[in-house]
Amino acid sequence: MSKHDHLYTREDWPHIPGSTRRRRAFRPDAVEFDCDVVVVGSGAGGAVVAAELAEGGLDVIVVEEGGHHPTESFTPDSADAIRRLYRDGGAIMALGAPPVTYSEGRCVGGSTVINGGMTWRTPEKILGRWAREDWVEQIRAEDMDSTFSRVERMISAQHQDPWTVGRDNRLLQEGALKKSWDVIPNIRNQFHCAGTNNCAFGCPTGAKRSTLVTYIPRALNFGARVLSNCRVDRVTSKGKRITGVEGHVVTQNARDGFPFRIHARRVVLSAGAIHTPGILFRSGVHSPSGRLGHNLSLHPNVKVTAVFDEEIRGWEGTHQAYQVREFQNEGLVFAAVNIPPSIAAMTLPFYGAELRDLMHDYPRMVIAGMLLEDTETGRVRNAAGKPLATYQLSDFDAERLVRGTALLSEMLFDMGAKRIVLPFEGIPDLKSGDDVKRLYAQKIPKECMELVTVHMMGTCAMGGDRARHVCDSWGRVYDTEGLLVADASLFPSPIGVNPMETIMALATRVAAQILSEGRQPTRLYA
Amino acid sequence: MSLATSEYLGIAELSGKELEKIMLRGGTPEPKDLAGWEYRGLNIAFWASRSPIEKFIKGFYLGQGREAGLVMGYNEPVVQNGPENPWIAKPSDADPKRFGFYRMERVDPAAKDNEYLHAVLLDYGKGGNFALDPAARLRDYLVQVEPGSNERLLGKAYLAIGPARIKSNYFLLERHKETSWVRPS
Repeated sequence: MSKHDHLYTREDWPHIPGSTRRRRAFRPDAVEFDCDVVVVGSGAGGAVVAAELAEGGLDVIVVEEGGHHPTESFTPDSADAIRRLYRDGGAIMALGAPPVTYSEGRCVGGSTVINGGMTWRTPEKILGRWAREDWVEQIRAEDMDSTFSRVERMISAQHQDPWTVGRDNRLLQEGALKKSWDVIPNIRNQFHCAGTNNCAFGCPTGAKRSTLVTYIPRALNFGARVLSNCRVDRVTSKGKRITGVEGHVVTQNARDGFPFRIHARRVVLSAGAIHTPGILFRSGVHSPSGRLGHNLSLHPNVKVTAVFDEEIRGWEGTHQAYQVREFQNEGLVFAAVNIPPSIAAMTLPFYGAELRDLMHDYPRMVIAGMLLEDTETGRVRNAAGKPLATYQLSDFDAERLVRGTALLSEMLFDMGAKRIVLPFEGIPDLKSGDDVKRLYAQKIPKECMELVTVHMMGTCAMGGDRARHVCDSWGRVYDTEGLLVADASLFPSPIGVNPMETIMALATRVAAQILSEGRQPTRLYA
Repeated sequence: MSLATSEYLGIAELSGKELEKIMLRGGTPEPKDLAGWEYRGLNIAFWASRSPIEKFIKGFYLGQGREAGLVMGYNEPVVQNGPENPWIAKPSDADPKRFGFYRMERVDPAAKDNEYLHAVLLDYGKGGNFALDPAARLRDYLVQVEPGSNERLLGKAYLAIGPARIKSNYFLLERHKETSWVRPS
C-alpha cells in the first residue's frame, strides 16, 4: 500500500473508493461520502486536527482546495511555485489606506508548505491575556506546555545547523549584537535544513517539516482520506445541527467540476482567517455575538532593501535564521528575509534603468523585514459569496512602523550599508545615518506605506463569552452543534510572533476536545 | 412572605441590550434541578407595568403518567401590586389557579425552536393546554443569570404563529418557594 493510497486528486474523480451515488442525491452527478468528521483545509490547523482525530480512531475526510504537490516537484522556479502553491498568485489585497497585500497557501499542506518555518510558542503574556480578558479556558502557558511539546516533536522544531546560516542573517545578528540588542536564533520546523532558501516555494529537500510531510502522511496512515482539488461551497445543516459539507471539484481551468456532498456529524473549518468566515457566511451561519469576520489582525510587515559594498549572496543559507527581539515589547520583531530576484524586482519602487541598476546590485543586497503586532483590527465581509478583507492601519501602528524602519536602517548603516531603499512610496532612499535621523522626525503618510502580510488572524475569535466571541474556548462555533474552527481565525488578538505553532497547538486542543466528547478514542495522547 | 431581592429588581431595570448579553452569557439550567420549585416572575417590557400579567409565578414539577420522566411546569396569576411588594397568588396562596402548562426540555439544534442552544425551552405547545388556548402559542427560553446557580433565571418569550416565531419580551424569575404540586394524570 502506497502512502498516498487515500489521497485523491481531480484526476481520480468520480471513482473515489468509499463514495456513493444515491438515488436521491442533491444533484444527479453528485458523489457522496460518509464519515465522522470533515476537515476543511490541510494547513497548520486542518492537517493537525485530521491526524489527531484519525489517530484517535475517527473516520476523517480532509477537503483541500489546492492540489497535491510532493516534495520532489519543488524547484527554485518561483513563478511556477506561486501559480501552483499560492492562492490567487500570492497577492490578494485587504482594502484600506494603505492596502495590505496578503498571501496564503493553496495546496495540500496549506501555508506550511510556503512559510518560513518559524516555530514559536505563543508568548506567555498573550496566553495570559486570552485567559484573563477573553475567558479562554485552560490556555495559560502551564496548561499548554504539553500541547506545544507534542506539536514540536511532530514537526521537529529545533535550531538551524550553524553552517546553513547565510551572510545576510549573520549580518543581522552581528548588527544587533553590536548595538547590544536582543537577538535570538530562530527555532524552525526543520531537520537538517540544507539552506537552499527555497522555503517560500516549497522545500525541495523535505527538510522543512511542513504538514505535507508530517501531519498529512500521519493522517493518511491512520486511515484519513484527503480530497485535494476540492472546494467547499458551504456547510450543510438541519436547523443548527451540522450535517456535513457540499462543494465541487476544482478543474484545471478553475471551473466547477463534479459536485460532492459529505455527510458528517462534525465539520472542522481550517481554511484560514479569510476563508473560514467566508464559508460560514456562505452557509448562513450567524454568530450571536455579531462578531463573525470582525477582529481581523494582520501583523503588517514592511521591508527595507539595503545595498552593501561586499557581496552578500543572500540566496545562500536558510530563509530566516535570527530574529531581533529587542523591541518586542513595542510590538516590533526584525528579521533578514531574502527573496528571489524576480519578486525583489517586482516589489522595488523603481522601473526602467533605475530598477535595472539596482537589480545589478542584487548579490550585494540584504532584505530585512519587520513584523508589527498591530493594535487596529479589520474585517472580513461577504462580497457576493466571496470573502473580502478590509483593514485600516492606525496612526499609532503607522508611527511604530516608521520607528522600526528607522531602527533597522540605523543598524544596517552601522554594518556598512551604502544605500537603503524604504518601503514608503515617494520617500527618497537613505544614504547615511544622518538620513535616518531625519526619518525618525519625518511624518510619513500612511497611504505611502507598502504593507504585506502572511499572518491573518482573529476573524472567528474564541473566548468564553457568547456576546463577544464567535467560538468557545475549544473552537466550537457558538449557537451551532457540530461545527468547529481550528486555524488562526480563533486568535482573540494578534500574538506578535509567527503563528504556525500557535495554530497547531490550538488545533491539537480542538481535536482533543472532539475525541473527549465523541466515541471513545482507540489511542490516547502520549 | 418573601420579597424580591434587590439584585432581582436591579436586573429588571436593565436595558434590552444588557438583558440580551445576560441571555447569551447565561448558564444552562438542569431541568430536573428546577422541579419542585416555584419562581416569582416579572415580565420586562414597556407594556408590562400597565398589564394584568406584569407579575406571575412559574412552577416546575416532575411529570407523572403520560408525562412521566419529563419536567413540566405551570403559571399562576398573582396580585398585580408592583415588583416591590410580595407575590400573592390568586385566588389564594393556599389554592392558586394554575394555567399555561409547558414542557421543559433542552433545546434541540435541529428543531424549529432553536434560538438559544444553551438555554432550556419551555414549550407551551407540548404542555397539554387546549389547542385554542393562546398560551399554547408561547415558547420561552430560560438561562441562569449567574452560570451554575438556579437562584435567578432570565427568560425570553416568543410567540409561535404557524412557522413564524415572533419575539415578545424578556422575563425574570427568582426562586420563590418549594412546592410538591403535581398535575393529576
